[in-house]
Amino acid sequence: MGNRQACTNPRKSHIAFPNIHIRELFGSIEAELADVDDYLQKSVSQANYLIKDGFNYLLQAGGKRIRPAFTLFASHYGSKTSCIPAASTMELVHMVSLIHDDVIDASDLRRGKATLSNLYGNNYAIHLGDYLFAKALAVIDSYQNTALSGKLAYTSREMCRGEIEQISNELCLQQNIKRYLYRVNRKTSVLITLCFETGALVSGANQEVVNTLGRFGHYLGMAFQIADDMLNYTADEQTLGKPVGNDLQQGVVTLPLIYFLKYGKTELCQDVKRILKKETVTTDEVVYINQAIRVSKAIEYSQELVNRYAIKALQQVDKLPDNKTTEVFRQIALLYYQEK
Amino acid sequence: MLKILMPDIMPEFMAIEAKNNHFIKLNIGKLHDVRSMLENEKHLWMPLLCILSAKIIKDVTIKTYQLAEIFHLLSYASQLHWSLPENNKDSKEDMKIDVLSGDLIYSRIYSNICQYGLQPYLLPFSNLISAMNESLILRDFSRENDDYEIRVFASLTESACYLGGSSASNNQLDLNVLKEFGYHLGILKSVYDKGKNIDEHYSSWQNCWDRVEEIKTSKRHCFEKILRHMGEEWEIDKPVLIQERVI
Repeated sequence: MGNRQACTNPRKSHIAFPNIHIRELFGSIEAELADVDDYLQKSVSQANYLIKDGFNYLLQAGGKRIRPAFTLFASHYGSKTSCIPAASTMELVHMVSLIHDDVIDASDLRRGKATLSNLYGNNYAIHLGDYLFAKALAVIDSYQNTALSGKLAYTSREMCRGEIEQISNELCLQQNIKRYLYRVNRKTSVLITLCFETGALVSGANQEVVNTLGRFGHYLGMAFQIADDMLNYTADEQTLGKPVGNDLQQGVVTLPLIYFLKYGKTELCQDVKRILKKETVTTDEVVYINQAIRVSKAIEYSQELVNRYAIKALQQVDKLPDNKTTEVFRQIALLYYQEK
Repeated sequence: MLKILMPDIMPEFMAIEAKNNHFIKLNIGKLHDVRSMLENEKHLWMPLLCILSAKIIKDVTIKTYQLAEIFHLLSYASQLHWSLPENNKDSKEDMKIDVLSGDLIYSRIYSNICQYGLQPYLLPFSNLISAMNESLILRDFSRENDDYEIRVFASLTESACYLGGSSASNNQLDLNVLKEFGYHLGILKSVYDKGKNIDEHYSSWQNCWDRVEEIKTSKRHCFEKILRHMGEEWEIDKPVLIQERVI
């Protein structure tokens, strides 16, 4: 999400971050993020060597640790300490969703490296995912906070429903934007929301702040996923960490395509529909569809929607106490805002 | 087997079964045909044992039925994730659905635990599920597949008996008896289902009968019935019990 322009909305006075990457905003919590990695490593220390091997491979495969960072930042609004286990749980849940996604999509690569299912097999990947999710719940249970455990369980259910919705809508070209947004919420936004709420809850922040951070997380998550879906049509393989056009080849219909099919030029739309109805979509056809979508207004419209969510997120930031963390949140939301 | 042996528990269980099956039909039924899974009687084993254990130790509570519901779901979820095809290029669609359906049912299990206020049971269930999956990973990389599967099933049955019992009473002595009984019964049931010979696991046969003997209530005859049924299949009798052996 680099190369963003400075925004010229009423909050302009707060901005000083063009050309910045989200990870660069995590400077103040670098030490805590290192603790999260240590905690994650320790969380499987009692497991058998097969689990340790696969899990260490995943840890070393990278990842921006965005979700634990959100939890750690959110914990700054309370007074209690030790949010590391909760933050680690958020990364575990995210990892599980990626491991299972790779099996579902039969992906060979993730972030440019072989997926676990590719290396160790599908059964291994599924069992490791189930193992890690159960561990995540055990960690959350140690906080003895019924609201927190309930939220994690609810989130996992919503994430599954989002995935099921996506599968049942595969290659369904008659989707509307509302339906797509429901799916985005379940697929991505609920977990981001949980990250913020968890940090605030664990640290003992007041309920108003918990709710505001939850809403901020929701809007940010929506902006994040829509922007990610746009990347499938605008970025190269190196940026994506997976083959270009993967979504199209998997039959996943996202906002740029939905918009294009509804408002694009009739003859182009019919051509794209014809291609997508075929058994397989070739690389040349992916390039052709990407080009057709880029010349339509689909990308601009998607960015407009991202902007709207970013502004909503910023409105929540304005309700938070004025401090350094609030400023970081403001900058994170602005990362997704892009002027026309 | 339990369905035939425990007709008196079935009516109580039917509401639970209907609720879970409705959830599965509604959420997964639109993706693929779930009939064979829902009609498979092996999924009744753990929830019925859970109810039976509570009845034997004292009596069922609402908590018992809620736990039985969770064990029923756990049986479905573990079946879906138990053994997936390694080459999903050929069976990609089925595979996708099995993975997602299993995930959804697992998440339902965790949600139910929280919604029902069964917080003290969250850790035992997480531990059970993580241990089960750890063993299944070892199974896939081991030559002695059957041993791991037998042990996984034994842990599930052990938990069904122990947690079911704990929903009715907190007498730790009784609960430990149920726990041990459940573990060995799981081994026997697994050996029985695989059509294997009992010889290698005869100690579990002995153990089960010894534990049944320690149960003081008259309702223990339900457990005896299960064991006798298996014994007939293997053509073995009730062993000499601890008390008789000591004498």
